[in-house]
Amino acid sequence: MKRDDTDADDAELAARAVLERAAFGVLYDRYAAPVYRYCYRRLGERAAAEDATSGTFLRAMEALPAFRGGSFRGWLFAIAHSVVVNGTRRRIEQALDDTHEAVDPSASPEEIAVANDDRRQIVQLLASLPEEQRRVIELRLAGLTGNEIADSVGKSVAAVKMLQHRAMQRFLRTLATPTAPGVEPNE
Amino acid sequence: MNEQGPSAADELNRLWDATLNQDLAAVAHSDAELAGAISALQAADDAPDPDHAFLARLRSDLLHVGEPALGHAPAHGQPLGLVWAAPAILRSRSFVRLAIAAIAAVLIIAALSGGGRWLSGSGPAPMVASAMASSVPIYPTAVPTSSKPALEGNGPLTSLRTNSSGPFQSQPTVVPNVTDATLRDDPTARGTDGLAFNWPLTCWGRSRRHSSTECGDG
Repeated sequence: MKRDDTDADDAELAARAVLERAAFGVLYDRYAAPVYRYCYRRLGERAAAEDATSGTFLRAMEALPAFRGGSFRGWLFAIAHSVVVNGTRRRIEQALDDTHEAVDPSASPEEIAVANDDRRQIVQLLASLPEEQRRVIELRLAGLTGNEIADSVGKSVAAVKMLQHRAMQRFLRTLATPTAPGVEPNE
Repeated sequence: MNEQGPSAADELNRLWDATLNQDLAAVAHSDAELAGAISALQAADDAPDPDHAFLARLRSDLLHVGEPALGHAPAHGQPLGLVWAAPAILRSRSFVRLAIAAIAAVLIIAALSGGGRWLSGSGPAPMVASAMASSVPIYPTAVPTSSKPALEGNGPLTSLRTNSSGPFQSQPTVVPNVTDATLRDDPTARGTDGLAFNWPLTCWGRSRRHSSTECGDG
């Protein structure tokens, strides 16, 4: 691996990765964890998320010669989304059962209960969003910018802005009311 | 949060980008409610980190999968620690194929020429093969003898014949000049029944099996 590979930008690495596996390795190191978490949010269990992550990077490596610039991260997450949607999917409720994995062990039982409740609410909110809004928010949580999300979902930046705006309005309403998550409060 | 118009959507997008880029100044001057909602959403994201052993195993698999299938060398001079065994194998295979093709071509040529010469003693049919493989021109197989030259004078063909230094050199493709002199000049032209046989390659082939007199050496 070249000494400056870790500083190289995604586009340069993607161009070199067609012929140099080491360059692809750098891209993998950058995005394996975010891709895994994105898959986990969708699939709700570790084994399925690992399978989807493997499939994502395998497909990315095969499709790399066809990558024509733009946001590599957006392109990669588009592949991840395709793998998740087309692969085996577990129900989103599975994620609710696994939320204890991210709990801070130093927190008190009351804090854990509140945190779990908030997470449950947010996970249920994400699951209840329309598909496009959900995808935009999940890509935001994966660390993509607005432009990268537009690349990834194949929409204009303006369309992405509106999708995340509507999703956030829904989220704020849900947080403001004690009603069941995913259910529109009476206004 | 302003829920109306594209300006609110623009503001949300700008704020979220600033949050991702850790642009604290931009976040500080934005809608507090909106910034709080983004922070809450990100904090509530409970997706766990992947297992390190899984990541390492997948990385190793990815960087070594399908290496022999790659049929091209790296464009850059340094392969960066990659194993590029396939191009060397392919070059070696190409060389072997070329060598086999060259040997096969040589064997075919040898079979055509040597085989034709070997078989030429069994009759006129193998002569076809001999003629194909020979660099020496072949002429009509039977030439009637005559007491007089069929063509006398200064015809162009006669002059060509006269100027030749050997029996089969510089001859035209048709041999009209049939004379005793011609037969005398030609050591291979011998006939007891009025026909002279000009089979130079046949004599070459026979020389291994028959006496030299049969080929007109005497």
